[in-house]
Amino acid sequence: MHFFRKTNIDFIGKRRTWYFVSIAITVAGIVWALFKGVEFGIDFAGGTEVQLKFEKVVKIDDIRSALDAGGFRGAEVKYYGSDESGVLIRVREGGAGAGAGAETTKKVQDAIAKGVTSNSAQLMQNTHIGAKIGKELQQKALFAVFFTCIVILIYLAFRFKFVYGMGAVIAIVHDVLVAFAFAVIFNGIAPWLNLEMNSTLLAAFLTIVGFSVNDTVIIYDRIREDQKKYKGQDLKTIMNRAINETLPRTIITSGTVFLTLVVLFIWGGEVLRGFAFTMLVGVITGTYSSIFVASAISYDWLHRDKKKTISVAGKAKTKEVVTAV
Amino acid sequence: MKKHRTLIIIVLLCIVGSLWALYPTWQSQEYRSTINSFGPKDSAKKAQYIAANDESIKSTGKKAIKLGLDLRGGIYVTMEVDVLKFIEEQATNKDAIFDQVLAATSAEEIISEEPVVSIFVKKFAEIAAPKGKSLANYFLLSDVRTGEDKEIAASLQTGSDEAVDRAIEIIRNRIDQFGLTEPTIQKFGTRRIIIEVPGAGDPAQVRQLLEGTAQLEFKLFKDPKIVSRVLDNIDKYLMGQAPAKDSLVAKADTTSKIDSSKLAKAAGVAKKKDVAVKSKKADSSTVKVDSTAKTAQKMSPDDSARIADSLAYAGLSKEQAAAKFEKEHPFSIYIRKGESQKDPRVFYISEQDRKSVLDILNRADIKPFYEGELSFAFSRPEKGKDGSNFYQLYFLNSQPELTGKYITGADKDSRDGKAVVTMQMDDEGARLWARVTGENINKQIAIVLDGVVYSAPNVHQKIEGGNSEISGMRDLAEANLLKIVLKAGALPAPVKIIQEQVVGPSLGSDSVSKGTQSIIFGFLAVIIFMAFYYVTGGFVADIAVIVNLLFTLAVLATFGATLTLPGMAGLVLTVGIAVDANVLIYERIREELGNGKSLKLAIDDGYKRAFAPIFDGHLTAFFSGIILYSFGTGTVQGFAVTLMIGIAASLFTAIVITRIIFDLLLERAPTAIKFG
Repeated sequence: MHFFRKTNIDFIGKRRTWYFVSIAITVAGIVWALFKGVEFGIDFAGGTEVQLKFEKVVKIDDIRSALDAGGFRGAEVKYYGSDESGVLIRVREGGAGAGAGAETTKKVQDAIAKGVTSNSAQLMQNTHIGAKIGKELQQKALFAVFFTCIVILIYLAFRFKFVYGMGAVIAIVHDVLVAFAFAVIFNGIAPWLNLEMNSTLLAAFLTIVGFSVNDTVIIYDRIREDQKKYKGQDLKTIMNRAINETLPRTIITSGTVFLTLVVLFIWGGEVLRGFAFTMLVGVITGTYSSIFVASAISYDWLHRDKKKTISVAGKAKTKEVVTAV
Repeated sequence: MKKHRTLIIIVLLCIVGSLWALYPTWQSQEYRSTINSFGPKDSAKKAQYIAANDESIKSTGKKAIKLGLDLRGGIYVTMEVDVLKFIEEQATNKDAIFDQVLAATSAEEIISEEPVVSIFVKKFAEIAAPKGKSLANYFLLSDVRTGEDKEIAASLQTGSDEAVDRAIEIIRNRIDQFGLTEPTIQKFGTRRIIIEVPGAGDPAQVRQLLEGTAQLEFKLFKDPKIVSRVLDNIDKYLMGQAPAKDSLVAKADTTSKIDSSKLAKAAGVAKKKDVAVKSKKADSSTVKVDSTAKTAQKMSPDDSARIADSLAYAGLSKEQAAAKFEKEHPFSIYIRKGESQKDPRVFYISEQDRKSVLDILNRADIKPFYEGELSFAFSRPEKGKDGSNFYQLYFLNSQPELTGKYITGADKDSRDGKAVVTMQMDDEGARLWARVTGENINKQIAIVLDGVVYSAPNVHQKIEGGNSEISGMRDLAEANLLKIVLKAGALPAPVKIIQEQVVGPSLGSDSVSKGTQSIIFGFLAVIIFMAFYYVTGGFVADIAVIVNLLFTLAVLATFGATLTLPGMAGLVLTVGIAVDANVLIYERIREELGNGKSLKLAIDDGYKRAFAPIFDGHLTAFFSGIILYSFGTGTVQGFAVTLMIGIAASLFTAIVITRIIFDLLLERAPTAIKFG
C-alpha cells in the first residue's frame, strides 16, 4: 500500500507564507500569555492542590462558598475527572489559608465537609510544593530547554554545518513557542484539558524538542546526500527534492506517533491529557517546522551568503558555501 | 544463516534473559490477582494464602517492576536540611552584621547550586569582613583549634553534611518503627532527603513522624520481678476475655505459629556483644573489666513462678504442656518463646511476633497494665540466619535517667583495633551521669532514640567529668551509627518539608488501568497499521517493536527502576520512535526498488542509507532524554528513563533484529518479502 506516489511540491518557494503563519501563531500565544497571564501548575508556583472525589455530582459554586467560609478565599476550583463528581482545589502559596501541606489539605477537607453536607468526599490526591522548590523547578525548566538547544546546536554544527544547526535550533524554539501558545490559549478556552504549566507539560515540551530535531535531521541528511548526488544543481531544487523524497517517511512516522498520542489523549486519563494534547500540537509543528522553518531558514541564510558573495566579489566561492553542508 | 549465527545467539539470549527478568513481575501480578480474588467472606482463606506464599510474594515483589507512587498510591515527601538554620544555631554572639550575612546567604541560596556553607562564607567575606569581623567572632566550635576562618568553614561544612545523615537515620528509625510498608528513604543531592511511603496512610501522621524532634534517652533495665508481674497480669487479663471474643489475639495466634526453636537458632547466630561503657580517662588501668553474663541482673522470669508453673504442668506431655502454656499466656508466649538459651536477659522476637506484641500493647485496655511502670522497647532489626528480621526486646524503666540534651559531642574512634564511640556531656549532664553510673555499676543502661534501643552497654564504673567511652561495637559502621544517634540528642537536625504529595490508592489503580489501556490501544493501532501498510516488512517491524518493549521492561525490572504514569507515556512514545526507524528503512527500500534495484540490493542499500539519519535522530532524542532526566523531578524522571532505555533498545531491535530476519527470509523465502 502507498499513500503517496512521488510528489514534487515546491516547499521552499512557499516559505514566506508559512513564515507569516508561524509568526502569527507564536505572537498570538505570547500576546495571550502577556495579557491573560500563564496559569502555572502547583509544582512551579508552589502551594497545595487537593483532588477530591464526591459520591455524587457537585456544584462548583457550592464548593467555592464552602471554601470561602473555611478561610480559603480565592482558592481555585475546577472539575477534574470524567464527570462532575471529581474536583480539584488549588490553594496558591501566599493565598488565603495557605500553609504547610498536610494541614492545608486537612483544613480544606474540613471546610468542604462542613459546607457541603449532603455529599461526602474522598481524598484522591494532594500535593504540596514549597515556594522555594517551585521557583527552583521553574528555573530548571527554562534551563533544561535552553541547555537542550545548545547541545543540539553543537551536535548538528558538528554533524552538518553551523547554519543548519542554527536552522534546527530556530525550529525547536519555534515548536516550543507554538506548543506553548496552544497550551496557554487552550487552557483559557478549555480548562478540562489540564494545560497549566507544570512539570508534565515541561516533559511534553522537551519531547517535542527531541521529536522535532529527529525530523529535521532526517531531512538534513537527505539534503547532504542529494548534494553529493546532484552536484551543480541549485540549493532550492536540491532541498525541495530532499523534502519530497522524505515526505512519505515524514507523514507515516508523524502519523503513527500522532495515532498513539490520540489514544493517549482519549484513554490516558486526566493526568496525561494535557501532555497528550501538547504533544499532538508538537508533532504537527515539529513535522512542519523541519520543512518550513529549519530547511527554509537554512536556505535563506545560505542564499543570502550566496547573493552577497556574488555581488561583492563575484568569485567562484559560492558553490562551496552552498554544497558543503 | 551462517553469517549471523553469533548475532542470532545474542538476540535469543537477550530475549530469554528479558523473559527471565520479567518473570517475577508476572508472578507478582498473579499473586496479587489471586489475593484480590478472595471475596470478603474468604478473609481466612486469604490470610492463609498470603501466609503460605509469604516468602515467594515478598521475593517476587522485590524483583518485579516497581510502580511509582502515582500508580499505586502513597505519600511522597521531599525534606531539606535547613543548613542556614544549622549555621545560625551554631553561632554565638549574633548581631546585626551576622543577620545581614544570613539574609544575603538566604537570598542567594535559592538560585545557587553551591553548598550553603560556601555561600555563607563568601557572603561573610563580602559583608562582615570589611567591618572587621572574622568567623571566629561568631563560632566557638569544639573541633576547631586554630580559630582560622578556613578551619571554621570546614567544620561547618562537616557539621551540615552530618546533619543530613543524622536526619536520615532519625527518619529511617521512626518509619521502621511505625511499620510502614516498604518505605524508601534516599539522600538526594547534598542536603535533600526523599521519602516515599507507598500505600494508604494518614499524611498528617506521616508528617508528624518526619518533623518531630528526636528524643534520645538513657534508660535503666527494669527489675525482672516487676516485668514478670506485669506480663502475668496482662496474660491473666487476656485469658479472662473469652478467646473467641478476642479476635485479635486469636488471629494472631493462628497466623504466627513460629517454631520457637528455629527462632532461637536464628537468633543464636547473632553473636552476643559485650557492650560496655567506661570512663574515658587516662588511668583506664583502674577500669574494672566485667564479664557481662556472670554478675548481671537476671531478666528471666521469677524463679518461684517457674517452680509453680512446673508443678501445674506435671504429668502433661511436652505438646500438651506447650499448648497449656500457650493458652494460659496469650501475651507472654510471644516473648517467652524468644528467650535466649544462653542469656536469660535476652529475648529475640521475630518480625511477626513483634507485631503481635505491639498490637496487644497498643490496646487502650492493656495500656494501664504497664504504663508508668515499665516501657517496652525493641532493638533495631537484625538479620537472622534464615534471612528474616528479628528484634531484641528490652524491658526498661518508663522514666529516663537522662536525656540527650546534655550531650555536647560524640565521635567514633578505635582502641586496640576495636571500634569505640566517645561521648561528651555538659556540666549538668556530667553530674547526673556520674550519679546514674555510680548507682548502677555492672548494670546495663539502654540508649534509646525515639523508642528504639540502639545499644545497651554495661556500666563498668562511675563516670565523672562527662567523658565516656562505649565499646563492644561489632564494626566501625555500627560505631558510626551510634555516634549519629548520640549526636541526634545533642543537635537536632533542622529539617523541613519542602514538597509533599499524597496519592490516594483508588486514584493510583485508576491511573494504572487507564495507562495500561492506552498503551495497549496505542500499541495495537501502530502494529495493525504497520502490518497493513508494509505487509511483510510491517510484520518484521512489529516483531522488532514487541522485542523492544520486552527489552525496555526487562531493563526497568533489572535495575529496579520505577514505572510512573509519565513513564508509561514514555513507553508509548518509544513505540513511535522504534517504528520510525523501520519506516525510514522501508521507505528507503521502496525508493531503491523504485529505482529498479534487485530486492537484495535494495534491502542492503536501504539499511545502509537509512542508518545515518536513524542514528542522528536517536542520538538527539537521547540527548533530550538525558537533559530531561537531570533537570526533572520524580515522575518526569521516570518518563526520561523509559524513553532513554527505549531509544537505546530501538537502535538494536529496529536495525539489527529486522536485518537478521530479512537476511534469513532472503535465504529461504525471498518471495515472501514485500514492502507494500
